[in-house]
Parts: sequence; C-alpha cells; structure tokens
Amino acid sequence: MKDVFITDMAAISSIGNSLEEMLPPLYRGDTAVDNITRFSTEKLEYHKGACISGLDSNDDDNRISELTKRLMAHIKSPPERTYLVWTGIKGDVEFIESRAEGKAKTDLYLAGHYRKLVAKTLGIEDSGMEINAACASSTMGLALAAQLISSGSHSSVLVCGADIVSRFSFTGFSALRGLSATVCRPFDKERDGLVLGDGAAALLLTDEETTKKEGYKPQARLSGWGIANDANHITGPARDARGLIKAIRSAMDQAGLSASDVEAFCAHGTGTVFNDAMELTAVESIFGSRKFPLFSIKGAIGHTLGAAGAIESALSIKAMKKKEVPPTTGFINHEERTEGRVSSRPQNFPGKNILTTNSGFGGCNAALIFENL
Amino acid sequence: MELWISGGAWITSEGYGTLSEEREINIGEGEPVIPEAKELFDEPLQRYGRFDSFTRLGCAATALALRDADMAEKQRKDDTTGMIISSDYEILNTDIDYYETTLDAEGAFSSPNLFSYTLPVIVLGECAVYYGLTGPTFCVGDDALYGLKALESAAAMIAAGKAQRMIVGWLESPPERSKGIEGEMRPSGAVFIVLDAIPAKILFSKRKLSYGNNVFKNHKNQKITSLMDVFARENER
Repeated sequence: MKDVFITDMAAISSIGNSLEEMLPPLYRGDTAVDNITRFSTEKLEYHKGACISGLDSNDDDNRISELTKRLMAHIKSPPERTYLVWTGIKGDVEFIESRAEGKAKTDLYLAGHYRKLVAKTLGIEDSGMEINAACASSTMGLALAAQLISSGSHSSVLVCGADIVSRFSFTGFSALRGLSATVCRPFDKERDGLVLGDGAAALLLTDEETTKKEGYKPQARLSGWGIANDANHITGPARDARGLIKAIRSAMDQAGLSASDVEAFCAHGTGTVFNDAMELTAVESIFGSRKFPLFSIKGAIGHTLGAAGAIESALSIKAMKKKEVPPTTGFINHEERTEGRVSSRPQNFPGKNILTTNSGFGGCNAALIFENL
Repeated sequence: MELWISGGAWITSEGYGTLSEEREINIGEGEPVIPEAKELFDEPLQRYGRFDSFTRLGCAATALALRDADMAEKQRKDDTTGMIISSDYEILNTDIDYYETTLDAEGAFSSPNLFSYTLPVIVLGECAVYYGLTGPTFCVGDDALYGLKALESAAAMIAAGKAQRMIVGWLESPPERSKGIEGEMRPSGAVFIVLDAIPAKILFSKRKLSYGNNVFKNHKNQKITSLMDVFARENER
C-alpha cells in the first residue's frame, strides 16, 4: 500500500480568512461566537452563532459558493487529474430558504454542484464525488481519499467542504434543543449545547510519486483511519461510545499505534451534554487513565457541520508542527474525566502524531491519525 | 480484486423484485411501489409507515436485498457490515417539508422530528439500528451514475479491510411536483445489492465482480457502469 501525504491545505472560519490567520486567535483562546444578524432569531430561545463577517449571498451566487471560491484562492493548483471529494452537507439550504421566501432565482443545486464549482475554479478536470455523513462528512472524505491513494486508484485527491450558519440548520438545532444559549463550552462540566459556525477547508492528498513530481513539501502522513456506525440511534450518540471506539481502534491498528503511542486528540467536542460525555467514555475505554492533551476548537469557531473534520484535520497538522495543541475555548470547569486532559490553555506535546475524530447523526463516526514528517 | 454479490433488490414505479428472480428492471415515471412493512420485516421497524419516501424506500430496498442474500435475520448481530448509498437529490423532499414548518412564528414551532430526517444518512442510521450494521456508513453523490460511486466506495472499504460486507444502493426520491421545483426530474427508485469480500453462501461464478484500474467487470468481462448493469448483465442469458 502506498503512503498518503497531505501536501496542501487551506481553511477559512469565523476567526480567520486563512489557516495562518486562524492560528493566533485560536491559540489565544478567542471566540467568534456572537449574536446572529444574518436572520432573525427574535422568537427563538437561542441567538448565538460564529458567522464569517462579510460573507453574503449576492445576485450571482449564494454564501456557500462564495465561501468555496474564497477557499480555493488558498489552494495551489493541484495536478490536472486530481480526484475531487466534496463534503459539505447542506448545499441546498439557501435554495430552499430563497424558494420559501419567493426569491429563488437559481436552479436547484444537486449534490454535484459544488464539486463542479471547485473544478472550474481550479481549472482542473471535473471528476469525483460527494460524501454526506452528517458532521463526519469531511472526516470520512479524507478517509476514503486516503484509501483511494494507498490502493493506487488515484494519485491525488482534493477533499473540500463548506457549510454555513443557515436559518434552516439553526431553527432545526433550536427545535432539537441542541444549541447553547450562551457560549459553546466543549467538555465543560456546565456545557449546555453547540453553536453553529461558518467554515470551509480543503486538503490535498497525494502519493509519494506525485509529491515528488509536483515538488510538494509534504506536511503530514495520513497513517490510519476508521469508520464505524453506532447502530444505536439516528440522532443521539451511543452512551457506551461503541461506534467511536471501533473507529478509533481501526485507525490506530492501521497506523500501527498502541494506546500509549497516541500523543494528542482533537475531539469532535460539540459542547452538547451527550456528545462530549460519549467522547470521554471512548477516551477512558481506549486510553484508560492515561493523561494526554484532548481539545476541541468548536468553542472558538462553532460547529461547522460537514466542514468540521477537514478544518480540524488542518489545524491538527498545524498543532503537530507547533508541538502544541490549542486551548479548548469556553472550557472552565473540569469533571473527573477531563482532569489532566482538557485545558483552557495551549498544551505541549511531542508532535509526532495526533488523533482527530468526528461523529454525527445517523450513528456516523470517523477517526483519522496524522503523523508528522 | 474479486467481490461477490450475495443478493440484490430493486423498487421502481413498476413494482419490486430481487436479483434471484432475474427480472428486468424498468425505472419508469411515477412513484415507486414500496412494499408494506409486513412483507419486509420479521420484527417491526418502528415508524416505517411514517417515514418520508426516501427513508422508507431505502429501508425497504435494504430489507429485500438482505432477504435475497439470506441474511435478513443472520445479519442482526454481525459486526462487519457497512452500507453506502448514492443519491443526487438526497432528501430534498423532507428538507422542503421541514423548512415549511419554520415559516410560522419566525421558526419558534419548527419540527424537530422532520429536522432529524433532513440528512440522507438517516436512512443508513435506521438500517444500522435495525440490522446491527456497525461498519462504514455514508452517502455519496454520483451525477446520475445509478450507484457506481457507491459501488466504488464500498469496494474501497472492503479493500481496506474495514468491512467484510457492504450493502450498496442507488436511492432517489426527487421532489414531488406539487412542491413547485422546476426543471426535469430524474426517476425515483432504489437498486440495492449486498457485496461480499468472500461469498457468504454458495454462489454461482456469475455473481462475481472483478475490480481493477477503477473499472468493475462481471464474470463475462463486461464493464459495469451502474448498479442497474449488475442486474441487467446478470440476467443476460
């Protein structure tokens, strides 16, 4: 099997218009969570979101398209025959919202629309697919891309995704009572819900031959991945974390790592009571009482849905380079299982490898392990 | 790489059938003829009758395909099966229905039940819970290739050793005309197969697929370009 290298990456979120711009506020513990002005929340119980300032729809296109175009400006031209995997999960919401308000003037965007936009913007051949696995979409996109490269099916794969704070999603999570009325506090004892955020990310995966041929400087190796379903509930996580445990173990086995080898863990950490409890259960099951850095970035940039895994992967790779994981913004109060793991301050680690996971509706779980080079 | 097709099923406007029956699939205009729950499930699948058309169609096709593979019951405690479906419209009908519920009182009465079903992976979640599927599950879009991308992705999961068996499907339930969406709609229906790394039961060699250089071929070395081809080629005498 071939090695899989991450050779280019880009991200945009509410705390920065590029990956480099995101790092200083993220490591300071800043948050972009603020009152939403994009649509009225007056009659709802929740009002907070992490929106990108100045991200507007216009006569030509919608917010997700605009975000995608901004993202592509940060990606160097990939090889002509690069396979594209789009992982945004709600590309149709702006169409649905406009239609309901009697303003729809564009064609319906089917799943392939944004992949074609990426191909056109980058000037490469349109070949590829979309993956929708709820909030684990881009994580699974990266996992599939890794397999396509390691098996020799493709030599380069660009995984990208973008999702936004939409009225559609906001009212939905509000109806499910999954939102926080204040701030997002992942793993905090007093956590009370998630906050949605705008975000987009893209990662280019290449095999060794392409990496050398194109003169890329590889930033990390994607050395293991796992995907598993809870088979428990369609919206709630399994209390015993069975799916996440299976996904993490599968990724560790593939990477050849034991529980004592994993140095840091970028968790899904949505800030909901049940998700974070499930993740802590998985940590205890796999790592026992071992203390090592565990963090979530969602207190800083919100939950970016399908794009979350790609953004977190890119930031995890940056964390390996810095040998320091960012703080868990919003975290204040420990419970027993977070002691010595979660911190409101940056934490040092050796920087050789990092685990990142995401979970979502439908019982989806995915885990990735990156190794530093 | 060699893969085995243990079973399969289809549901269209002209009825439903299985791979073993060796009937031709015709995907015509109109609503698919979805079987009743009592024809599909030995134990009740909660809410089946109240599912949206996408979810009901997907659960029904899964049940028929697993039964065709003699796995409907055996599957229940199996830890090595995943499920991947392809869809371009995904769950647009439910998206529209849900959003209608947000329009009164500025969203204060939005339906949590409908919102929960506004992701195409929910049908995978329903099947995972019912059949105990703990392998890889996700949805793919594939530009009207009728399941080819799902088939490729499933082969990738098996090749990586992440699953021994994959339920693979093409599933579409485009918006109803009454919802006022313009443009030409693709047909509605489902075509599912059960794909195995090793044959789970004694199978004839014609149930074998080979995969290499990003191309699937059947036992006659004919190229497979969609899940429909799996059935059509299978039935060729």
